[in-house]
Amino acid sequence: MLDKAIVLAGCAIGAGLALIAGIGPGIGEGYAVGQACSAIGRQPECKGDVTSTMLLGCAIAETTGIYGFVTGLLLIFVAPGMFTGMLG
Amino acid sequence: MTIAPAVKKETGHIALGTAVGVAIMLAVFALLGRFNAGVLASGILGGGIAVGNFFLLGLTVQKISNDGNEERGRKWMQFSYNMRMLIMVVWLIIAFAVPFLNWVAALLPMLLPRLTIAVMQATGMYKKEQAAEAKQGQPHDTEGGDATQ
Repeated sequence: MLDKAIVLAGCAIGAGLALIAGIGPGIGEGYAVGQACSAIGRQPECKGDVTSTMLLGCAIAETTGIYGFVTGLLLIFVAPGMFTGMLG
Repeated sequence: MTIAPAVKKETGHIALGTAVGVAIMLAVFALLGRFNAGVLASGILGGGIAVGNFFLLGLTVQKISNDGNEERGRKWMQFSYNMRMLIMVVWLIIAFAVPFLNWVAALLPMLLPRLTIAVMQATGMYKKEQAAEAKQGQPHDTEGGDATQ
């Protein structure tokens, strides 16, 4: 009983820690977008290139957040059943 | 609302890459003998949500680059990121909670846009496209289009 409780608590704490990864991309994307806006302001003729590069950069940065969310959801929905099943 | 050519082009690349990835994933499920209607539905819906997420990101980037205000752009991007993540999390929770859906098939397409970009970068497809555009003398998109219209 105590073993299962420890496993469940570990999964919940792990999920919470994994979701911290979702914070970084939001801040990073906001910063990148701000810098891109000032780049477009300096050189308006490069708007298309900056938009394209920013789009790909944001998509790549966002993946980190998705990994964190996926890990968190796996720890909440999949891991408890798997680990408590191992304990019997 | 006019969609910028850059957004259309990149979304097209991502949609194609995701479609190929989902097809490969479904083929692997079939080889493992796990293919059923739930896997098919999860794969298609997951792929659609992944491409839709990228398209919404593109619209956000377009709107911000048209607006040009640094502070407003930063806040708008963070709001858009939160909303898009919320949509993805809701979808994944539905995939975990509904027994008909297969959560692995729902989850894997979320990672395919990044994989598509990585493959395109590794194979030098972006450079080839740029070289082809330069050869044809096509100017890069300077108008962008306006998501606010």
